[in-house]
Amino acid sequence: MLLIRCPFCEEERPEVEFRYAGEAHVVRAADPMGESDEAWAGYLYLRTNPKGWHAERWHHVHGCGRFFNAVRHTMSDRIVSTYKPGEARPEPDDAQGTGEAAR
Amino acid sequence: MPDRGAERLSIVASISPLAGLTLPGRQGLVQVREAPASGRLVLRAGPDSARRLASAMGTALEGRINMAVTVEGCTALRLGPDEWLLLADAEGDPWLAARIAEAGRGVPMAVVDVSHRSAGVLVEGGSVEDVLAAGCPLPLDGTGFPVGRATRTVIGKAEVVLWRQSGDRFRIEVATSFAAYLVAYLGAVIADEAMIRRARLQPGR
Repeated sequence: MLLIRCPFCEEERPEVEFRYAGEAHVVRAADPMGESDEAWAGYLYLRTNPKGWHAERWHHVHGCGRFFNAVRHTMSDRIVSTYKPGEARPEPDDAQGTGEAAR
Repeated sequence: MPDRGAERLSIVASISPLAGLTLPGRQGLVQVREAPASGRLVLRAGPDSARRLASAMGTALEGRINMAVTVEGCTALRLGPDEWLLLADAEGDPWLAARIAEAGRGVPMAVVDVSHRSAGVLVEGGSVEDVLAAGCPLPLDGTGFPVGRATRTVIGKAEVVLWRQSGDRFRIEVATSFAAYLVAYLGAVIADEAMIRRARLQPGR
């Protein structure tokens, strides 16, 4: 079972307490009516789906109930960092993702 | 015919969600009991509101996340950064409602009475950690889950609030619709011979 550190509880908690909630840092335009159809469709539907580090939202639904962000490697499942919404995305180097998968 | 709606409602409210269930136990190791009736409030308040409420209510709100603080028959379980579950015993109940109403004047917050939303289950005995560990993925030993710790988590498939009241007693708050499931789950664990043998091999627990 993965242990995920909740930045609000400030401790590692079992993965069954969490729900995945999609890619992080997807910003909604302040004025959607001013967006082109293409840009709006991109906001609604297009995600990066990388092979490597991925910043994503998680919901501590069976815990403190808060959403937060995590940077996870999509190959090894290793979560290198979790942080509160509004904080800057950490940029881990590639070597950190290839080692032992997250516990 | 007189309207008997209110009477029927109070009868419904007075029946325990655990009524009719056989609460499992094993002599000398662990016992499941129903928690005494209590009032429950959910309080949502931001940091500023929480500070103002806490100074008005005593110290019941201040404290670390995932910990419980008891003051005068009322326990505040801090389940999230801005969420508290307030449990009051029969004597503390009027005190709680009155204090919140008084302290909350002009303070932005939300208070909801959820007294009949969940059932309180006590699990106690020397093997309580082993029994709960069969369904709860958190570390439950004295270091990982010290006395006074309270958090929302899962047992089996049921979401619960788990609160360690003393070394060998936990209180579980479970939604009424999951109460029968939880009792059946604990019963199956307690009936498991392998678990009991393991517990007997660890004297002093």
